[in-house]
Order: sequence, then structure tokens, then C-alpha cells
Amino acid sequence: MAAPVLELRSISKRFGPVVACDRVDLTVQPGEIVGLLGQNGAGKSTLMKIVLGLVPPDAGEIRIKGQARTVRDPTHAAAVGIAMVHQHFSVIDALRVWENVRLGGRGRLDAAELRAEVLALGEAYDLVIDPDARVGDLDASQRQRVEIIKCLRRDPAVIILDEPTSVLTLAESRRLFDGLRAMVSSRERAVVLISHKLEEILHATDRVVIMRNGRVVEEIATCAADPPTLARAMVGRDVSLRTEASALGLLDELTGKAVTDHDQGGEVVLRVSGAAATGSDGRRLLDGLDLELRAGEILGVAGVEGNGQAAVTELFSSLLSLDSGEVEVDGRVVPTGVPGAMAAAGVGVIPEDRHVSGCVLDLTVAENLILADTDRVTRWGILDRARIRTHAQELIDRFEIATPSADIAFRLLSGGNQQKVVLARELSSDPKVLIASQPTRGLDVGAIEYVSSRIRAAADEGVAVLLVSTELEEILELADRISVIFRGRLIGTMARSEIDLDRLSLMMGGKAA
Amino acid sequence: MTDASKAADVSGLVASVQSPSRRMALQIGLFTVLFLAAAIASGALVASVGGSPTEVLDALIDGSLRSPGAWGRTLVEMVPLALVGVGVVVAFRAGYYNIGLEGQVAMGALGGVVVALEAPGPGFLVIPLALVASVVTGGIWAGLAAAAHARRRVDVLISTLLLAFVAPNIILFLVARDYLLLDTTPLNSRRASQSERIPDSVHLPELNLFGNTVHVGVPITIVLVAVVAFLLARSVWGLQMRMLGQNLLTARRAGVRPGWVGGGALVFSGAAAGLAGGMFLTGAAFRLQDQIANDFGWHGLLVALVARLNAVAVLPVAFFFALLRTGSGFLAATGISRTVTDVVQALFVVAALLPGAIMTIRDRRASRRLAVHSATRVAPAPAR
Amino acid sequence: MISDLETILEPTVRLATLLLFAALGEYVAERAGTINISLEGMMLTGAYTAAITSSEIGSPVAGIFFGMLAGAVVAAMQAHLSHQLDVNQFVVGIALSTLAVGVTTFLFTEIEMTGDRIGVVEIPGLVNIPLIGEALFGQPWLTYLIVPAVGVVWWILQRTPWGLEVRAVGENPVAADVSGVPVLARRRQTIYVCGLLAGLSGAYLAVALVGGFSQDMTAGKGFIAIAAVLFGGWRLWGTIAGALLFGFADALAVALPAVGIDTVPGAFLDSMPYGLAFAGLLVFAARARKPTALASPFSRGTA
Repeated sequence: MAAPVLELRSISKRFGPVVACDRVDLTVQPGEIVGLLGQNGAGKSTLMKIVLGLVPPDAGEIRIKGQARTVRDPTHAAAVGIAMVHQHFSVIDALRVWENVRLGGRGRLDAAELRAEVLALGEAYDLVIDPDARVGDLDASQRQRVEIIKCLRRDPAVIILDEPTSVLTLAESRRLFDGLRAMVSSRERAVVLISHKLEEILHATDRVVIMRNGRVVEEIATCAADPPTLARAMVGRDVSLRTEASALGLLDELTGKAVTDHDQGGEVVLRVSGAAATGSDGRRLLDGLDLELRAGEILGVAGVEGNGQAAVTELFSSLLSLDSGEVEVDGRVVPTGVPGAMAAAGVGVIPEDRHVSGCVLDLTVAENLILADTDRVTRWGILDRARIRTHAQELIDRFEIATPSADIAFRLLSGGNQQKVVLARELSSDPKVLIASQPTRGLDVGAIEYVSSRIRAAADEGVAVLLVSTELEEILELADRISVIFRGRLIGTMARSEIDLDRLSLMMGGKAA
Repeated sequence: MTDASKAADVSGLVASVQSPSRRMALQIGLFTVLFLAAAIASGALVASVGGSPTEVLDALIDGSLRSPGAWGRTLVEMVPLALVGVGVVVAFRAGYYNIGLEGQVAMGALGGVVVALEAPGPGFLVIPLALVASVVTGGIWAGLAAAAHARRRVDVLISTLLLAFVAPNIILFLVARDYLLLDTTPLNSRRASQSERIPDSVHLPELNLFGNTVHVGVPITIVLVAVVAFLLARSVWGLQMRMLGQNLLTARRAGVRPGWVGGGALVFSGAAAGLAGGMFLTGAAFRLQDQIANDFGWHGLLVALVARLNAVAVLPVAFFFALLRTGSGFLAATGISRTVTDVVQALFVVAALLPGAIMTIRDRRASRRLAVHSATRVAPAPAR
Repeated sequence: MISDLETILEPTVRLATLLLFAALGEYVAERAGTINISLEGMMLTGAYTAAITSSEIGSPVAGIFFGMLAGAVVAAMQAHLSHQLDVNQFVVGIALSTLAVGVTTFLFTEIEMTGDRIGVVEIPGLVNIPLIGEALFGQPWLTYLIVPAVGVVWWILQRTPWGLEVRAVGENPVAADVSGVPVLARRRQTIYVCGLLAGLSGAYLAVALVGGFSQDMTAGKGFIAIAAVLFGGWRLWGTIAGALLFGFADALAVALPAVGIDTVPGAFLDSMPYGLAFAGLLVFAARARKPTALASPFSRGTA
């Protein structure tokens, strides 16, 4: 066997009391696709950040093509043969494709040469893209192509892909995996595929390495693996593929699940008709979105990232005003884009990124718990500290928020507990409608289960829930009805019991209605 | 739940929180050390141009505290500084960087002088009226920037500043014309560009404290600062302001209208600066000329920065700056230019920045050690 | 009439050049995401250093050199405080501008200096073109440097990898970071560039236009230069247009009385550049697309 292209020996990294990587060994041979499987927080991302030079390791050795290396930064990583396709945030909207491809790379800034390179790489790997397009104008899968081309241009020995399918439809994912196969088969290249989804690991890799709690716990050839073994290794205990299928990314288990359609006799509490909105850059965000939501039901809005999900959340956070169309809550029209109007009308929101619009990091936990509803703790415009404290303590107990005190800065809480604070605040104000946007993103399995059960419980108590997510698993787990969002409108709605994965995935690609 | 995240979840925290009192002690220690360093640097500067640092210090203390009536003058000098400073605290906390205070002080004095000269009636009516006029004109001057921001997204930082350069020219225009505000009394036979002196009846009433004379603006200012400090910490208005300054989107979702709350904070700071101008006019200057703002706007801004945007701290810092201002009058005998106090002030401003910077680095190190799960993000841009 | 126009055009070119040197620097810094309020302080420090050096050494050229260096010293403080120690960039800018006024005023009152000025270079032939000849081709030699300066700034930002990285950092620092661009280093470097250019602008004021120093002699010109960048919608040509417009407004205050027009009050003329800049922002600011990450601090991995 040839020398490994990448060899990690006993890599360790601690963040204070937390061990992110504990003596991790990993070997990648040229020509293979290695799956790195693990839950959120298992240490996969930290490990790859170490390889990429974004995080310095505490101990251990990185050998690349047989040579020990200290990787200083991503540019250096690229120079020695490691490149990464990031899940989010690594191409820049305002720049053109050829400029993005060059960013952080080497060589002169020669437009003609770079254009030619983009075209050539596109041709070679079936990743066709216009080199002069502005990245901001591209859709998610096209942007990913730019990412991959940017990676390939550095001619890496190892390509790392971090959760690459979260922005793709099922069909696009399959096409991506075919492309990866082409990359490793004909060249002296290897691919590391980071994922928490059993299914795609089984589908796309040669060998799978499973991490848990910062350690490598299992390493087997993919052909010898089966879902129960992988799942057990990943979670660390026997799991029911059925009940935890969502956390494990098992679509088939989810669709096969016996379901009874919820009683849909509730009143319509949220009605959106003909909603259209334009972004500040003139792009269409919503384009005639219609929606009806009944008390006590969970409507899942599935779709590939970038089809208007963000605009939906913004709309219900009063951050977006409509060009035309209407939002009615409980039969009353609510003005859009007027600060506080949606909250006042009884719409709770769990935003996709709580740091952007869900909390104020430097206020205290107690203050964050009353942000949207100061009236109940106010007398003549003065905040009643005693009441704020009792209110906070009650919610901290009820939602099992782990914090030493209600008076410490929100910033200091861990991610799971921050999300609980947001959840507690939004649910405690007795909303009629709850908008949950990717509510479990970035949380570990325990926290995912907690958040999911709270959302389910809210629906059972009569709250109308709109669940917006790009993770099909999350939607299949919770939703009573499912709609697909495509280019700013909802296309087709189906009941939970009549889900057909193929049809759903076609709709997510905009193919059928 | 993974063991790793459990470890972080035991306390629920990603950063180990040291006891608040230890943290406080550390910060106070840092401030002390750095302020001492600023003082030493100031002394070194004096020495470098051949002066004697101790003589200079002596003269400063003579001028500001020791000589007869000196600390009364210093307290009077503190009034505009503290008023401007507390306004800046409010505006900056809301994320509205009003740095054109000098213009707002001048416009406040202009509003005050018009009422003080033209309004008939007894002093106890005209004085409050003049001060209200100061508040209004100062507020309007900042309000122009607030409106430009709300309607046309014009950067507050730049617009307030540009308007600050326009204000003295407006006053200069008015006080140079005999059909407007020019002093046409025989006393001003050289037609210097200034307004008539306001009548004695509209001078702020004075109080006598242990042989020092201060006007009623002093107690009024202390009460005002205390009220604002209380409201910032304890009222819904204060909470909304702080929300807005730290996270615009969350604030909007929670029902904070940026135009009203943030624009309001900006207008408030302009009004406070206007009041400072009005009090300076009716309490000390008694007539209008183009340099009426007398650097109170710039120095008040610095007061707020040295006070680290803490409303309560504005009073002692304003007093300290006032010491430098009144004390600098006594420097002539030492052979050192009074402009040395400008340098001293600036050094203290720089020194005030550093403890925050050092604490930030400490916190960042602590949280970097622990924050495994938090996603990478850019902090939201402050509203401008 | 023609000579009257010449009387206005000539100072317009000088004053616009003064603004543009500083505005070019600010433009570079803002493209990387910093609103650099210490620009005024950089200019003032540059002006003082240029004047005192030229007085002590007797060489205005040395003055220009040390003026630029002094601008870079202020830049170093701004850069490291705001893009390393994470202090709010506006607060740092205010503090440094104050420090610059204080220190230069103090030193100016303590140390005597003599004035000196660099020579006017007339381009033979061209200087005799009516109307524009004197304005464009009869300037102190430093004025002509503005043309290559604009070209170099354009070329560096648009045609070099460094410039691409600067633009990337101003738009999306997180993406730039994971792509391997040293975000904070690039931001600091742009502030250094800004300091050099602002120092040059100050030196130009001291040794090319005035021939000496006076207390607070920049008098807010740094802030007008910032306004020119905003007015120009963060585009190079817009910035140039802004500098020309505000320079023209500045020149009117000098030139109108000189050509015998005294009906316009001096106070009005003096506030023209500031008022015009404010009006200009009112009209254009809402339309401009500013760098997305402008004024947002960056630190890796913070929540």
C-alpha cells in the first residue's frame, strides 16, 4: 500500500475542561473516500480545524504525504496539500466566481488565467459555472460548486468536505457523490467526508471512522458496516433507529414510521396570502407565498437552503416588510416590518441563528428572558427587579436551564442552554403561533431531543407551529403536514401519512408541484 | 448528550466565571495603574520641554482647588462637561455615535440667548424658558442627524460632526449683524462679533458654599445625572436602549423602534448638550459669540469615554476634567503652556481604553479555551 | 471673467488634492471594513511633523517623509487597539484625534519653528493653457503625485491578490478567514496605508500649501475626507468626485472674496464644505452599497 496522504497521530485538543480531541489517530490513503461520522460535538469539526491550521493542537503529530508538518493556517494547509469545502461562509457574495476561487490561494491575480482555470476544472469534474457571475447571484448548489472548484484549484492531496449535503437536494447530493468518486479514482487524491448522517456515509464512502466524545471509537470498511452498528458506535448505547432516526439522519426509517395524522380540526390561526418581498439588493425573497396554519398542528416547511426560509423567519420577526400580500393572525391582519407587531400579535419565533435575532449576548439571562414582553414586569416604565427575578427563576426551573444565576451575562451560557433560554422566553409568553427555524441546528443529541419534545408539547397544547428546516429528518420527525418552499413560495402540501420521499425531493428541486 | 458537552453543561457555562468581586478588583487595579501611567507620562512631557512637573501639578491644584473660590469655579465648570457626558453615555449605549456635541452645545447657547434677550418677564420665568429653548435647539441640531439617519441612512458619526462645524458659523453670522444679535451697545464700540450681555435677572441664581460661589446648575446637574443613571439601569427605556445598542435585530423583533428609541437617544444627547450650552450661557458666559461652546462638547465626549459609558462615573470624571480646565489658568507662572492639559486629558482617554482591552483579551482567552460549541460569527454592526 | 474662474479653479485643485490624499487612505481602510475616525489625527500629526522636520532640517522633502511616517505611527495605535485589542474603533479614533490635537498644540506652543515651503513646478507650455493651465499644471510638485497615487490605489485594490483580500475582508471576514486570509492583519495593514496617505495629506497642507503649522490647522478636513468616501459610495471614482466637490466648496471660501464677490457672507462660505457634505450624504448615502462588514469587529470563534 502506498504511503498515506494524511496521517494524524495522537492528536489532542482541550478547551478548558472539555476534551474536544483525545489522542485521535486517523490515516487516509490516496484514492479512498473516508467518512468521518459522529454527532455534533463529537470532535469532528475540531479535528478538521486542526488539520486546516485554524486551531492549534495541544499534542500530536500531523504527517502529510509522509512528512511531519505544523500547519499554520488554511493557506499553508493548501500549500502542503489539504483543502476544505466548508459548510457555510467561505465564499463572498460581492465578489465574482473567479475572484472567490483565487481568494486565499497563490499566484498572480490574472483574470483571464483564472477564468480559464474555472472553466477547465468545471469541465473536468462536471462542475460547470460562469466564472464572471457574482456569487451572490448563485443558488446554494452553484455556490458549493464554486467552493469545490476553489478547493480543487489548490490541487490538494486531501479534500475535506464538511456536511456538504445540507445545502443540496437528494438528487444534487447523489451527483456530488458521483463527482467525489471521480476525483479520487483517477487522481492521487483522497476525500474526507464529515457527516452526522448514517445514510450518506454508507452510500458514499469506502471506510468509515466514527468519533464520540473526542475519540475514535470505531473504524470499519463501509461494506462491512450496517446502520445499527454505526448508530451504536456513534451514540454510545443501543439506540432505536426508529425513535432517534432524525438525529441519525435515517430518512428511510422516518418515512417508514407508522404515523397517524394529527387531528386537523383546529382553527386556522395563521394565514399568509400572496406574500411577496424584495431584498435590499433587489432580489426576490418571497414570491407569492400562501400558507394556512391551524391550532395544534406542526407544518413543516422543507426545502433547500436559500429558497426563502430566512425571509419567512424575518417576516415573523417583524424584520421584513411585504411588498404585497397579508399576514393574518387569529383573523386579524398584522402589519409587517413594524417592530414588535408580530410578537404583540402572539407570534413566537425561535430564530435560525439566535445570536443574530434571538438574544442580546451582553444582557443578563434574566433580561433575555423578558426581552419581548417587558409589560409584565414593569410599573410606570420602571422594571420591577423582584418580578424579573421570580419570572426568570420560574423559567430556569421549568426549562431546566443550567446556569448558576439568572443575573450572569447570557454570553456565558453554553449553546444548548442559550437555545433553552430562547425557547423558554418564546413559549412562556403564550404564543398562538410558534415559528421554529432550524431549532436544533448545532445542538447535540440530548439537546435535540429536548427541543423537539418541547415543540411537540407546545403543539399538543394548541400552539400552531411552523417548522422551517433544511434538514428533512427534522421535519419528518415532527411535522403533521409538509410543504416545500421553492424560490420564495410554497409548492404542494402533503399530510405526514402520504409522504413520498422521491416526490418530496423532486419538489425541493422545483421539478413538480 | 456527549461527555464533552456534559462537562460544559455541568455549570451551564462555556466560560468559567470568576467571582465578580475579584473581577471588579482587577479592573480597578488596572485603571489605577494606567491612570498613574498617564499622569507619569504627562509629567515626562512637561519635563521634556524643560518644565517642572511638580510645579505644574502645584499650579493646577492651586487653580482648581486651593486658591479662594477655586473649587466653586471648578464645580461650575463641571456642569456642562457632566451634562454633555451623560448625553453621550445614553447615545453611545444605544449605538448612536454622536460626536458633534460641540455644535449642539453652541446651538443650545444660541437658543438660550434669544429667549434670555428677547423674552419679557421676571427671571424665575425667563430662566427656565431660556433653558428649555437651549434644550430644544440642541435637540433639533442632533435631531437633524437622527432624521438623516432614519430617512436616508446617513452615518450618524459623520453627520453630527459635519453639523458641528456648521453651528459656530451660524452663530458668527447672527452675532455679526446689528439687525440680528450683534451687541450694539456703546460698550461694544468696536463691534466685536458678540451678542449683548443677557440681563442680570436671567443669570442662574447663585448659592454660597463655604466661601465658594456656585450656581443652581450644579445641584440640578447632579440630580439629572443621577436620574439618567437610574433610568438607564432600571427603566424599560434604558433596557430598550441597551438592547438596541447591542443587537439591532433582536431589539426590533422585541418591539424597539430604532428610529424612535435610537433617534430619541441621539436627540436626548443633543438636548443635554444644548442644556449644557444654556447653563454655560446663563451661569458663566452671559453673552453669545461663535466660540461659545468653549470645547465643552469635545471634552464632555471625552468625559463619557473615560467614564467607560457609565452614567454614575460621569460626575467624578467631569469633575476631574473641570479641575484640569480651571487649573490650566494658573499655569502661566510655570512657563508651561496651558495647552498641556489637552495632552493630559487625551492621555487619560487613552489610558481609559486599555483596561477594557486587557479584560477583553483575558475573557477571549478564557472563552476560547472553553467555547467548543459556539459557532463562528461576526458581531452585529452597530447602528449608525 | 476667465481670470476669476482661474482664481477659483487653482485653489480647488489644491484643496481637492489635500482632501483626496486622505480620502484615498480612508477609502482603502473602509474597503477592509474600518471606519477610521482617527484620520483627522493622522493628518494633523503628519502636518505638524512635516512642518517641524522641515524647519529643523531645512528640507521640506524630509518633512514630507517624516510626515507620512508620523501618520503611520498614529495608524499603528489605531490598528492595534481596534484590530487586535478589540477596542471599539470609533472610540479609539476619537481618543487618537484628541491626542493629536493636544500633543501638536502643546508642542507647537513650546517649540518655535520657521516656515518653509516646497516649490511650484510649472509644466512648460501646458501651464499657459487658458483657464485650466494654472490650476492643473502650475502647482507645487507634490500636487502632481495625486495622479499616480490614485492609479496605484486602484491597481492595488483591483489587480493584486492583496487588494482582493482587502475587499474580501471588508465584505465577509468569516469567509475570508476560513479561506486563509489573515483578516486582522489585512485590516491593520489598510490602516497603515491610510496613515501614510493621511500623513502625506497633512504634510501637503503644511509644506506645500501653508508653509508652516498652526494650531488645529486641519480644522475638520479629515472628517470631510471621510465624508467624501461615504459620498462616493465606497467607489474610487465617487470618492474622487466627492473630494473635488468638497475641495471646490472649500476653495470658494478663499476665492470668492478674492475675485471681489463679497455679497455672500463669510460664515456661509466657511460652513459650505461641511453643509455640502451633509447634503451630499443626504442625497447619496441611501443608494450606496457599503462594504457588508463595515465597522463590524472580527474575532475568530467568538459567539
